[in-house]
Amino acid sequence: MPMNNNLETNELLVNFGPQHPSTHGVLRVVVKSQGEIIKEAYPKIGFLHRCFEKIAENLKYNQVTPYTDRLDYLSSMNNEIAYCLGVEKLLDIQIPKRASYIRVIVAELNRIASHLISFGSYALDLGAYTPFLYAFREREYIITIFEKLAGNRLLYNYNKIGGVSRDFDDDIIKLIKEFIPIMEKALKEYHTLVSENLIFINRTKNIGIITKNDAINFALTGPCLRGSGVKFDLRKNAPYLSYNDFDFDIPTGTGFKGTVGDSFDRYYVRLLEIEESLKIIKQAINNLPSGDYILKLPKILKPNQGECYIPCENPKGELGFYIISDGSDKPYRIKARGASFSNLSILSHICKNIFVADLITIIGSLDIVLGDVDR
Amino acid sequence: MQETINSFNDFFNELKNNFNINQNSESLEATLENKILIPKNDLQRIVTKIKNFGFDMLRLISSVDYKDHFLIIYHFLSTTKNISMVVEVKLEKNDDNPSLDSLTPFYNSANWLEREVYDLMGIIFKGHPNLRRILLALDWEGYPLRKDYVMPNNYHGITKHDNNEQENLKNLNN
Repeated sequence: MPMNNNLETNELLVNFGPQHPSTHGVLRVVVKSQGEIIKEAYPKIGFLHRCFEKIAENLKYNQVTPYTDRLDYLSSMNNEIAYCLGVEKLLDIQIPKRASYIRVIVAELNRIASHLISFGSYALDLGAYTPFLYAFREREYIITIFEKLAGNRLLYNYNKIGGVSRDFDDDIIKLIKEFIPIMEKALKEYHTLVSENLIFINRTKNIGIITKNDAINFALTGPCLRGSGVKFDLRKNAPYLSYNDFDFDIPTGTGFKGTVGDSFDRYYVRLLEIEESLKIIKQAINNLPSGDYILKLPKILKPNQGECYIPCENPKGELGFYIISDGSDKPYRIKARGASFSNLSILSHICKNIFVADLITIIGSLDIVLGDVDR
Repeated sequence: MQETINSFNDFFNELKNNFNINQNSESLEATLENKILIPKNDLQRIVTKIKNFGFDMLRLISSVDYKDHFLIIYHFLSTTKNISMVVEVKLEKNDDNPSLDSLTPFYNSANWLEREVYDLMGIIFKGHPNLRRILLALDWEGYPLRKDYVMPNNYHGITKHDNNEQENLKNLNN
C-alpha cells in the first residue's frame, strides 16, 4: 500500500503531569509535540510550595532549623549547615573545631547519599532496573550511621546553632571507617555496570548540551555547572567550615564520551564527586580533634542587627540563606536561594527539537528535587 | 589575586563616584561586603557596567518589605575573578504597584527570579517577557510576603479554620 506523504500532523499539547514516576517529584511539564519530536517544553512548578519564608518570620531562630531540613529533603544535613552558618555569622561566634570537623563529615556523607539516589533513579528512568537497588544498598550504610547519630533516617534536625546536637562515639567512628572501603569497591561496580554500558552511553551522550556561557547566564550551580566545564566549587572558591584543611580535587566535565556539557558529563561528574567526598571523610575522621561539640548559648538568641548571605555547596548546587535580622529574637526576613530552582529554569531553553525520550534524560541529568524548587 | 582585588576596588570606587552613590548607611549594619545602594533609574546603566567588568552570574534577587519602602537586592558573582557584589534598589510605597526595570536582557537567570519576586511581593518588572505567578496558583489574590498581608478566608470554597469553633459550640449548648 503506497505511503501517503501528504499526511498533515498538528502540534499536540501534552501534559507531562505532576503525577509521573519520572519527574522526580511533583513537576508539570507542558510539551508541544509534533509526533515524537518535542518543539517546546515549559516546566510549571509550585505544587510543593510550603511558604517556608513566611513561616520563618514568625519563629525564633532555633525553631527554624527543622524547617530547613525539608527544603532539599535528600540532603538535609547540608541545608541545616547553611542556615546555622548564617545565624552564627550574625551572632558573631566561632564554633569549636571538633564541631566543624563533625559538620564536614556529615555533610560529605549526605552528599554521597544524595548522589547515590541521583545515580540510581537516573538509571531507573532510562530503563535500567538493577543499579537502583545497588545504589540503595550502599546508601543503607549511610542511613544507618545517621540513625545512630541523630535518630532519624531522612530529616535529621542534627545541626544546631553553635555546633551539633550529639557527639560522635567510638561506634559511629568505627562504622564510618568501615564504610569507606565498601563505597570505593562499589564505585568500581557502578562504573562497570552503568558508565561503560553502551546503551546508557548512547542514550546520554550529546543530549541536552549546556554550553559554558549558558550555564553561567542561567545561574546554574553544582554538578550542572561543573559538567559544562566551569571549575567553580564553593568549597574551594569561598571556603566555609574547615574545608581549607583538606586536600581534594574538583572534577569538571571534559566531554568524557560526547561533547562538553551533555547529560553524560553531568552524570559522570557526580560519580567523580563521590570519590572526592570519600577522600575528605578519610582525612577528617583520621584527624578528628578533641573538644566540645557545641557552644553554650543563651536560650533566647538575639543576633545583632544586620544581614548576611553565606552560600554553601549542596549536592544539588548552591544553597544560601539570606537572613536579615532587626535585633529581635525572630528573623525579619529569610530568603532561601534554592539550587534546583535555577537549575530547572534552563529546561525550556535546551528542550527544542528533541525526542520525547530525551526529555526524561535531560530532567534526570539536571537532578532536581521539588522541595528545593518550590520551598 | 591581589591584582584582581585592586582592579575591583578601582572599579567599585569609580562606580561610586560616577553615579554619586554611597554605601548603604541606613539602619542595617553592612555585614555584606561590596554593597551599594543605587537609585532606581540608574539600574540598567549600572548593571551594564557591572556585567562588562566581569560579573557574569546573577545568583539571587531578594525583596524586603520595610514599613515605608521596599528594598530589592541583587547578588552578583564573577566566576572568573571569584568576587561577589551586592546592589540594592529602594522603592517608595506609593499608591500604585512598585515597579522596576527588568534585568532579563542582561541575565537569563533574572527570568525566573523576578517572577518569584513578583509572585510573592508584588513588584512589577517592566520589560519582563512573561511576568506571571510561578509558585502560587495563577488566580491567587494578594502578595503573601508583604507585612500587611491578610490570608483570605475563602479560596474556591475552602474556608479558613475557625479557631473559636469549639468555644462557640460549648456556649451554644449552655
